[in-house]
Amino acid sequence: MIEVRNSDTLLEVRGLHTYFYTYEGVVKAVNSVSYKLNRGEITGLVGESGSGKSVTAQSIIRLVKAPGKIVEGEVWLDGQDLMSCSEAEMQTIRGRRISMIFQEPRAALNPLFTVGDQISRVIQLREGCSRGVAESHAVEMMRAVEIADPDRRASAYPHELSGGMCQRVMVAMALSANPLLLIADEPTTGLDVTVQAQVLDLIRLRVKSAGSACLFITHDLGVVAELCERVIVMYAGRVVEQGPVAEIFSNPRHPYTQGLIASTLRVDIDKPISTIPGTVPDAVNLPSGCTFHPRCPFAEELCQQEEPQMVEAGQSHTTRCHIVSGRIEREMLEEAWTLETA
Amino acid sequence: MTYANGEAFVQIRNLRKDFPIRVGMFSHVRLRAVDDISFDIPKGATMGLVGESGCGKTTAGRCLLRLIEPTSGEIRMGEHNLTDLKSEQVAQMRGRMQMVFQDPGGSLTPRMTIGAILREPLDLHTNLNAHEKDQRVRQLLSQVGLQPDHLTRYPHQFSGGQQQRIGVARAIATHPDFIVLDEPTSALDVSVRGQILRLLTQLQEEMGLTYLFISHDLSVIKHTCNQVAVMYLGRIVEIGSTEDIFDSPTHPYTQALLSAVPIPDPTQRGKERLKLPGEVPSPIDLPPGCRLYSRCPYRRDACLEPGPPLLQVGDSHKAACILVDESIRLGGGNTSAALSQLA
Repeated sequence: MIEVRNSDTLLEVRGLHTYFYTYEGVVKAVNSVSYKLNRGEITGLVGESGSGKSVTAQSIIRLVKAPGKIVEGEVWLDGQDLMSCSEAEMQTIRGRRISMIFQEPRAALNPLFTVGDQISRVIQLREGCSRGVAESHAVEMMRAVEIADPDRRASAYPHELSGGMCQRVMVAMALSANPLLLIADEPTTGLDVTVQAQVLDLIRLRVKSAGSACLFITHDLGVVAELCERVIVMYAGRVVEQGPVAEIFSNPRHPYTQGLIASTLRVDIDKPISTIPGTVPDAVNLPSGCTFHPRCPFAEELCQQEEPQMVEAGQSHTTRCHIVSGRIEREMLEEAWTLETA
Repeated sequence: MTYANGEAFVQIRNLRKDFPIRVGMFSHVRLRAVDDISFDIPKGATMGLVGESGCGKTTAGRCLLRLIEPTSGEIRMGEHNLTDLKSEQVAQMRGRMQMVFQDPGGSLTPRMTIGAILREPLDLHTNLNAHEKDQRVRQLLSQVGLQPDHLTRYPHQFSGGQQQRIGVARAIATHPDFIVLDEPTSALDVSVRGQILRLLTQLQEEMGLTYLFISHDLSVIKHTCNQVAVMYLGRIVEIGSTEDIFDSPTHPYTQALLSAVPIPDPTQRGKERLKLPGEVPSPIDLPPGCRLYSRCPYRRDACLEPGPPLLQVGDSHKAACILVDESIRLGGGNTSAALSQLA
């Protein structure tokens, strides 16, 4: 097959399946997931706990922990098939072409080394330069992520820095390798809002100036609306909707996306508290048909029987729903989410 | 201070809590976690206590229930002065004041069934016989939207949302008057959060409960509280009705906090924000002046003098910022507009 690649596409994930083989049964954490990430764009990956968003990221860098296994699928990074790379090749890709930022910066940093040491180690590995050069470069990186007094802070240990400071160090470390792709897994979840605003600004600025692509994993739709160009919504291991951020927020087509937006409280407007009835399904015994049907106020018989396919819902906007595809004729009313269903 | 609906049921006056921090073998420094806070909560109302990590909101909540001993100050609940009570008397009062915790899984004993968890407060605080307790436990389950067959299960067999329902059921078991809700929805997914918030509001209406709602999440506070107190480094910097705080935030910290909250609407992107540089400083040995001084864009030398006290902005609205005084003098009454003029 001839590779037809859009020059803007940096990463393409095709038909990815990652399963966990547990005693209770097989957990299909990532189930037939496909998407593309463009250069210079930040793509938000949204979902609730257990939706498979973190496992998707781990699958890209092939760091899925046992009993998890990538069963099927292709991951192309800038024309290179990551699934057929050897482990040694992956080692050079991780941290250089793909970098990651994690939720708990303090846990991701080594407590035994100063933060300056840790950043310069990454630079040394990449550039093969001397330690002294790497160290001065590390201080520059720390300045770039707006750490005040970087010369002094470089000799601090992670425990001596605040959470926000540690996250800046992580960003400096992740970006010091000039990666093609930055994967940020809930990087601001443990931070206070005033500090979160600073870290988001920083990620936006650095990703744009480096022209890399960024996969930003979060459960916070507010962060997505502020930061991302595209959105991928996951539910129970599947992508249920994806599209440009303005489209997804102004015209969400999948009932789950609609429910998620409706149940997000806002500080700027008054609205009744909305909620999606029920709970996230048990990962081992997923519902038949559309996995969202037990919680969907618009579900009909077909939704229980047959799994919907991904269909076009607008300009580069796709979703998985029988109502959108026209298999079921029904209107989706916004009021459905404010009704008491508990 | 009185509010529109009824008089104060819970009254806090000059509450203070110091923690000694060991710095050497024999020396200590003082960490003032809660610094002279006062507020009233009318019967059946919800007071929101909002602030970032380390601002003392949880410590304040725990002092209110005397789960930790306040250093000084007065706490009144109804006709009782809680600060005067001996610890045995406080134990007797526990049935009337309860708490719901942030981590629903961690706050339920893993070795006890749901039935046993819900029966425990009844054993401690009521004189019901075994049959009545059984009935009450079943009633509690249905009140929080769980099934009778859940009684024999263990906490780990429930999802986070269901665990929090159990936490709520335990808190209301003894028909309390006052409940401190400490980040009750922070650990929950967005789609489930609404269910718990609705449950709390519904129970409040049914049982006439008075809530202190502690959260760092302003959007949750906006949708659940009648009044809000904003805390920064142990002090209340602004207090007022929910409309006061959200529609006309006056203290620079409140303004910054509100403008830092991401809005889930891409068309609002790029709106003007008040950004605070840096992070919350260490709470040890703070200078006497305004706590926000090191980060405030409007700061001036006068801010370093002790204080500032909470100054009246509106009927029920107060803010601890000297610029409130100045902006009132500048006329106009619109403090936010005056503030930007001053900057």
